[in-house]
Amino acid sequence: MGSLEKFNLIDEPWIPVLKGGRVVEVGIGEALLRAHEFARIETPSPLEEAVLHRLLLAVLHRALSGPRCPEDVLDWWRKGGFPQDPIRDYLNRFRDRFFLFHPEAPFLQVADLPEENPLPWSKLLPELASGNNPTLFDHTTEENLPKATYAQAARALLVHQAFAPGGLLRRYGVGSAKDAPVARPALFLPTGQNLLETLLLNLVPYTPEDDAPIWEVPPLRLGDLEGARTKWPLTGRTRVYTWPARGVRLLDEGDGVRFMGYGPGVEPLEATHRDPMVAQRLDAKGNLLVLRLSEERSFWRDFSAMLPRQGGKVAATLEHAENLQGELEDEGLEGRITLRVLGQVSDQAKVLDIRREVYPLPSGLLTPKAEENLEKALKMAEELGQGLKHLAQEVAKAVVGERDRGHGRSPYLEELTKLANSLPLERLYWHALDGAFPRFFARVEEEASLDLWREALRGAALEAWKATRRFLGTGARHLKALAQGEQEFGRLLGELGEEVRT
Amino acid sequence: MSPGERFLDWLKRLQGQKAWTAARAAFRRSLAFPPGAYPRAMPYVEPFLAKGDWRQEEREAHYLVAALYALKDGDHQVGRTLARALWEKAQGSASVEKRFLALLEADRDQIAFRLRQAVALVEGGIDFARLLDDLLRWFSPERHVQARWAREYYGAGASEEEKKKEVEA
Repeated sequence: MGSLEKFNLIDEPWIPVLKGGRVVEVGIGEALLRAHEFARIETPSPLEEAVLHRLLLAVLHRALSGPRCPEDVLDWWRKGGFPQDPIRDYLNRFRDRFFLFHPEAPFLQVADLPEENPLPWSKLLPELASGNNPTLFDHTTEENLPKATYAQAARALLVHQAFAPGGLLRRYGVGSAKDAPVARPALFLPTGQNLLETLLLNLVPYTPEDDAPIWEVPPLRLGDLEGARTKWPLTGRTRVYTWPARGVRLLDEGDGVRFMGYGPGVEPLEATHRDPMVAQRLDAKGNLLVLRLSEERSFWRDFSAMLPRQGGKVAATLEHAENLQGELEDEGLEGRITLRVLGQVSDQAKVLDIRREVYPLPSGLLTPKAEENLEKALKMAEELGQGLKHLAQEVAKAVVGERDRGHGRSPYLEELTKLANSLPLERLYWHALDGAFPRFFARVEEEASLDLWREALRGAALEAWKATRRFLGTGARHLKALAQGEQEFGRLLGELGEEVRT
Repeated sequence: MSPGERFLDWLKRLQGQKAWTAARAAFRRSLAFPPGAYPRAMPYVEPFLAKGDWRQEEREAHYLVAALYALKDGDHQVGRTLARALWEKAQGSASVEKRFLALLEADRDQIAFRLRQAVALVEGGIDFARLLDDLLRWFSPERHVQARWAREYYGAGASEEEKKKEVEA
């Protein structure tokens, strides 16, 4: 064991926060004790944003043994800060467990993981290219692997422990690893005007019994993890927030990290625990499934699926933030809240996309009127979207001409599908609505919001149709297809109008 | 008043004169020549064109419409566009639709021949003023005229069919 105790995450700067318009890095202690001074955690990576909040929340829950009830949170909001002494005491008590490098208990790592067969540290992040990851944003290769600073490595470690998708591992007697706790779901993070408000908005009431974050339990050794020997039920709020999904040991090179020892982590056992940042929806068979992000659609299109109206469950953070907002408004305090939806889009072990979508959080979202409006609005949008999809197929059919379809996957059908998919109709429509939705959503509980939305739908469809006209060109076949399509298009817009009156 | 309507006035006045018989013969005969290239038709069109400043293809469009007007014996029906008349003629016939589509694609060399075919095909008169107005803008790169013709042709179809459905229901 060569490395000494080094880089304590409580004191060393590694959490990027926005302060007075500039990004500075702070440790856990400063982030919590001076949270009101920072606008927010500021990182280009949505996954980092999520895990850094989760870590701070875990410390808060434990240090404050709560909040036991929403009144506690309101109290801290009014006072403009957390109780300082319990946080200081708690951090002092567990200070030894927050070293990034430590001979016995490195933070969220396994001290005796061998250095043989090390992996590049970039394996921790889905957005850095390595192995057979699809290259999302980066062209790092393993040959020219840059050295990570300690701060970078610490953040990457957190991201990996929370988001690593399951897949082949083949190390230390474990063939394949399971998903990390939030590898698939969309995470709901309501955010306020500063970091203090944001943390309070996500500090869902909590009972500290039967739960312990990773730094409150004895450090895991390779012997515990070999052959997936350690299995924990996936339950307990701070346990899940600090879940050791993989065995990792960052290898110190004196001024940074290039490689790490890597192996299995704790295997999660199914439990009824619900992560406060995760929402659920009801599937066709009546099962509750976690709400995920999807590659080809923006998240707002699934917004109503998690509402109680459709049998879903909104994220506890969202419900908590809504309640808090209501209380604050009653007291005349301003609580302007935005909602961030964070997460990755994955296909089995491959991460396809990383998302951060930002929406205003209207104060009356969880009222029956707002739910009804939202449901109606999304239904209208989907129906018109379906109509436009069908229209694109009809236009394509008219351009290609009717022909014998043949059997199965005929070249004719393929040509048809290709042409229909190349038309900008559906894509532009949804794209325009991506821009319009936040405006509607901010006013969702108002009577006039549906009219506003209907106008947005009409505008989006018209723009998309105009672009399709320009796209398709002016050959006779194309003019014919467009002339026929225009009829259908007029009918679609007409249907939109009718729903208003009912 | 559009250029088409002004020219139609001119043709109507010509039709009311004794000279019409000779003029009509000359116009019909001119269809065998490229538009504006048949000398005997010139006396009946040039005086009108002298009042304006026309480009070559616009001159040709006037000659062409005059010849088609003569072909239909001056049967001018306000509001009945060629596209609509063709759709009425077609009644689902694929060959008429094919000709209509060919007409939409016609370039400057083909337009006279295809228009003549199309006009000969339809029964009854058409709106010649609109026809001239459209021909004057036929070669604009945006092809708005052709797009409108397509709408008139296929649009007429759908609305008639819908009406039929309504009657049946």
